[in-house]
This record gives sequence, structure tokens and C-alpha cells, in this order.
Amino acid sequence: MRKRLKINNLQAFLQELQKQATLIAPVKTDAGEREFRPVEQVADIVLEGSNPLRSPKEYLFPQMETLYTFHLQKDGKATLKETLHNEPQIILGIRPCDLHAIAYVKEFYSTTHQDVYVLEKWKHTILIGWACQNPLNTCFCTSVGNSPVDSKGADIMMAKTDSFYLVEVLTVKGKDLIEKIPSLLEDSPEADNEVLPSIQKQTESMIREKVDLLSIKGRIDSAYSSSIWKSYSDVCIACGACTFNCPTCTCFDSADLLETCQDGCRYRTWDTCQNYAFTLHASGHNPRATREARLRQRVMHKYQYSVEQLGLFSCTGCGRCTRSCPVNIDMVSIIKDIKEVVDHGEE
Amino acid sequence: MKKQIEQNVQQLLTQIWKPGDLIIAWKNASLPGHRTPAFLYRKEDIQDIVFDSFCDISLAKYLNERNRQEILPPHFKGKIHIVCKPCDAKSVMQTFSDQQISETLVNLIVVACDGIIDRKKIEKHCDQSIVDMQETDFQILCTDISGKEYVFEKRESWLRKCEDARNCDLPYYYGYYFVGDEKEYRTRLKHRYQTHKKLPQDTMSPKELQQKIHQELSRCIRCNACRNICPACFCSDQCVFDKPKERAKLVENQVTTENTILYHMIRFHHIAPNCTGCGECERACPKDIPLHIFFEYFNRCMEEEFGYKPGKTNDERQKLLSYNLGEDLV
Ligand code: SF4
Ligand code: SF4
Ligand code: SF4
Ligand code: SF4
Repeated sequence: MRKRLKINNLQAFLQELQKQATLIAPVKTDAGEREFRPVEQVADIVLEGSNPLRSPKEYLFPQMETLYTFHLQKDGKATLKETLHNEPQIILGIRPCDLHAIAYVKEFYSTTHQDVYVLEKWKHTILIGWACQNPLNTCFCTSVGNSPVDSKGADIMMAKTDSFYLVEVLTVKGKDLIEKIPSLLEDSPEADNEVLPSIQKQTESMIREKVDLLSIKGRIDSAYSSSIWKSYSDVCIACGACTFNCPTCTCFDSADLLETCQDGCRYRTWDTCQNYAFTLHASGHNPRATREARLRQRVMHKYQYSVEQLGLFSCTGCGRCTRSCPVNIDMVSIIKDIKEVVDHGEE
Repeated sequence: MKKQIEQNVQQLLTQIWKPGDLIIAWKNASLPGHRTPAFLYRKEDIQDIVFDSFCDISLAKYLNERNRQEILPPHFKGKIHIVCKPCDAKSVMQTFSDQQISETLVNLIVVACDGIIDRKKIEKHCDQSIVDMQETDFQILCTDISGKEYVFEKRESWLRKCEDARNCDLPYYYGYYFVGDEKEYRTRLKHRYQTHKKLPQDTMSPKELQQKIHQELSRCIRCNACRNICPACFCSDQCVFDKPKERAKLVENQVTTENTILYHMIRFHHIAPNCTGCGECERACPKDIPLHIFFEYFNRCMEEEFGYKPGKTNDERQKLLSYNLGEDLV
């Protein structure tokens, strides 16, 4: 089902969305950056502009999350209480790269093990995509086989044209939502078929470079022993900023926190494979003791291991790792080197 | 002007480099206005070295023990030639006095510098992402992804540290090569802008200050980029914040603003006697948190209370790290 929304009706449309569930969208913060935040006033929403540095992943898999609380009763018995957050939420303005990322995180957490915390949230979330017209110089979604208008993973996809918004309803979840707010939308004529392809053409022409990784999908481990890793890991300071901003990084660490002698909780926080202690064994042995091994792990996971596991690249080409790297390590340079090595071998 | 300096750096290195030596300098990275550390072992690579107003990354970090272990090939016997801006040279001094590396291993090459561009500041002033960034003598010229062009005056685009020429003076150390005219550089410095910039600590009440710190640090994602880029932070894998298996836990991993404030307070107190005010932490922060409100304040306290400026020389004993006056470093 495809509809049109008049430009003038956008505010009213957003207000209607806000009535249905917690609305999360890019808003301008006090610090002047755009971030996905629960919206207080729809007028704060800024849909256009570059993709925020923090991805919407955190509304399904937050950086910090209490898994359960525990309490020791007077009679010596302990009680556990699971803390599932499953209020309905709508995430608006998700770029195709982040739609892929959320789809990947959901896939990852329903395949390797059933992570109720992520899956429950996913069940109660409606994802509204946004065709991307403002790529950054770090973006490379086309290199990993995505496109700036791809709607895969979205419940509803939106796109802006000069005279209206296109609203494409893709799933039952999306249909249910739209049916609750019927009056604002108009029928979309046949000619609107052209909207997404023309945005795609326009945006792709602005993306700096395309490194064809699809042609070597599944064979990237042949670069495992290459010298390219060291050339980047020498520069890498192993901070992990890249992983903390990556929309598909899924690693976490969990710990117990005692608030009193009777009460406490188990929580989890994101962890990063770039940290030395990440793989440090209690014996003192560390299988990934060098930065070279850790940087290779991060890149290989994105392009090889997740392909082996789930058949998917777990890099969406969003470029956030490049954006956040304090020493300017560029993912596009890395994949260019990888492709060179896989295709032609080491010099 | 800059190009000439670049050539001079390359020329000097060609003269002093010997087979088996390592050169740490900057080279071009693929994105506009990006330079990245280069580790060079071959004479023919010297021509890749770049020095211009975009060389923001401090290379001093790579000298400390843990980083050398990662970088250097086994059985490395050569010298390390490191190219530095005057501000970074002070971090190198600090690395020496912290005994992270022996001076005999290092050839320090200090380059006359007129200031480094704050790339993030420029990017913020452009409507769209930048695809080209060039410098002329006084200006920065940019083109964004839609083809729109911008001109910025360099004097309005410096990194914060470059706006105060006191950060640019040279260390008291006789073992460095200087690229450029040293005497002229020192005179030039005197005419450059020198002032204590106002900090929130000067203008705010304690209550307001507390609020400000809370507000800024609530955006912190605890990625540790500020710690890992810091040339004064050399505990590396043994840092107390890294899931210490055998140490007491100072800060819970739980990412709350309270824990984050604790993290920063501990870190800035810990490096107060080593912090040269290089500003790398602030530059590295992907969330653009103005960390200068901490380190500049600590720098000032160190100077006012102890008359001590970290990085001034290669062998000054650290204040705050010894139990007794006159005690030697362990
Ligand atoms: S690896 Fe980098 S480009 Fe790929 S999804 Fe993660 S942050 Fe984005
Ligand atoms: S952000 Fe850059 S320096 Fe930090 S761990 Fe990632 S690649 Fe290394
Ligand atoms: S670099 Fe910035 S976001 Fe990362 S830990 Fe430091 S202050 Fe926080
Ligand atoms: S704390 Fe910041 S300013 Fe001080 S030495 Fe470290 S990186 Fe430089």
C-alpha cells in the first residue's frame, strides 16, 4: 500500500504517531547534534540532514540494560524479577543502512540464542524508514550491496519529494498503524513509482566510491594472513569508539550490582572486541593479545564470520566507524585493501 | 610555505635515516582534511610524509612502551625518528620523564607550526558533508557533496589549543632537530595570541558548574577514546577501568552519568601531573564533549599551586607522584 502525505500535513501526521506510542526520532539536542531520542514535541524532529552518529540500535539493544533484579527475603529465600521493557515504540527516520542494522541485530539475537530482551522490544517496535538523500563522505552502503532507498526491514518507508512525502506501508504492523490515522493520507498515483528510483540515482551519485564486496562474499577469509591488518593496527589505539558507534556490534558484558545486602541487579553493558581484556582468560592467556588480531577480528566479523553464520554482511556501510575513529582509520581503505588481496593476492 | 616545510622535513629525514630505523610521521588519509599516522621503514617512503595544517593527531602516543610493543618489528635495533609539532614535543618530553622510552632511542624532529585546523569545526559550518578540503596561506577552501563551495579564514578555524600561543612554545631540551627557523619561530610566538581562556570554573557558581558538568558528561558513551589517545595515559591494558580481574573495581561498568563523572574525575586527577594540555582527548571524542573544562583547569592548578608545567623538560620530577620531596622516581 502506498500513500502520499502533503508537506503541510507532516506535523499533524507526526502528532498522530506520537499518540499511538512512544515516538523516537532524530531531534536536535541542546548540544547541537542530531540524535535519536524520544520525542517531546514533534516540532523538534529534524528528518533531513546526515545520519546521527548514534544509531537507533540502542532502542532495541541499549548500551546499558538491567536484566533482572534480585532480593533476599527475611526468610532467606531469594526472589528474581525479570525487567522486560516492552512498551510500544515507533522509531521514525531510520536510514536504509540502519534498517539493515536493526534487521541484522534481530536476526543475530534470534539465531545464536533467543535474546528475549531484544526480541521483546523488537516485537513492540514499529520501524519507519527514511530514504536517504544526505550521504556523508564516510558512507559506502552500495559497497556492501545496500542502497540509499532500500526499505528491507522497515514497516513503513517514507521519502521526501519537493511537493509531498511518499509513505509506503510494507508490513501488517505498519498497516495497523496507518489504519489508525487514515484522514491525513492521500492515494498515490502510478507516477510515484519513480520517486524512490530517482532518489536512489541522485544519492548514489554522491556516494564517494563503490568497492564491490559482493563479488568476494564468502571468500574474504583468504586475506586472513595478509599484512594489511598490521598496517592499520599500528595506527589503531584500540579505543573501541568504532564499535561503540557501530549499529551492528552486538557484544556485551554483564555484571552484578549490589545496592544493599539484600537487593541488587544483573545488568549488561556494551563491550568492545578492541579492548585487550575482552578475550583475556582467567589463566592469563589472551588469544587476541595484539591489536592486529583484534582489528582483524572486528573487520572479519563484519565481512566474513557473519556471512558464515547468517549469510549476511554485518557491515551496513554506514561509515560510523570511520566517523568516530580518532586516528582516521577509514573502513573504505580497509575494504579496498581486502578486495585487492582477495582478488590478486599479496604483492 | 607549508609545502617548503614538508620538503625540509623529508630532506632532513633522508639525511638522518639509517637502514633499520623507524620514522613516525603523518601521511594523507583518503578523506578530505584527514591525515593519519605513518610508520615508515624504507627510504623511498619518506616522500609520502605530509606536514600541513591538517596534521592534528599527536604522534607522541606511539612512543610509549605498550604501543612500541605493538608496532616495532621483533629485534628492532634502530632509532625512532618522530616528527612533532611543538605541542606534541612536550608530550614526548613527558614520555621521557615518565620513563616510557629511553631518550637514546629517539630522534625528535620538531616542525615550526602556525596552527592546526579544527576539522570538526569546519565540517559543522558546512551544510553537507565535505568532499574536498584544501588550504592556502590564510584560508581553507571546502567543497561539499552537493558541489557548494566554502571559504574559511584560518585564524578563525584553529584548534582551541592553537589559539593560545603558550601551548606552542618549545621544551627546554637540546636534543631535537628543528625544521624551520627556530629563532624566528620564537619571535613569532611572542606576537601570537596569549591568554588564559575563560573556563566555566571562572564564571559559574559551584552549582551551575556541577550542572554543566553533569549535562556535558551525560552525553559521554564511555568509548574510552579520550583515554586511549592521551599520550599521558600509558597504563594501557592495566588501566583500572578495564575490567580489572585482580584489582579493586573503581567504577562500575554501568554507564550512568554518575559513573561517567567518576571515570573522568579519576582519569583527570590521575594524569594531572602528566597532562601537557595537548587537547587530544577533546579532539578524539566522537561526541565532541568539551573536555578542556577539565584538563585546562587542572593544568592551571598545577601551574599555580606547584609552579609546574608538564612537558617543559625531559627530566623534571613529577609532582604528586612522589611521597617525599626530592624522592627519585621509581
Ligand atoms: S563496521 Fe563501520 S560502516 Fe560497517 S556497520 Fe559498523 S560502523 Fe557502519
Ligand atoms: S576507533 Fe579507530 S583507533 Fe579506536 S579502536 Fe576503532 S579503529 Fe582503533
Ligand atoms: S572520548 Fe568522549 S564519549 Fe568517549 S569516553 Fe571520552 S568523553 Fe566519553
Ligand atoms: S588529558 Fe587530554 S590534554 Fe591532557 S595529555 Fe591527555 S589527551 Fe592531552
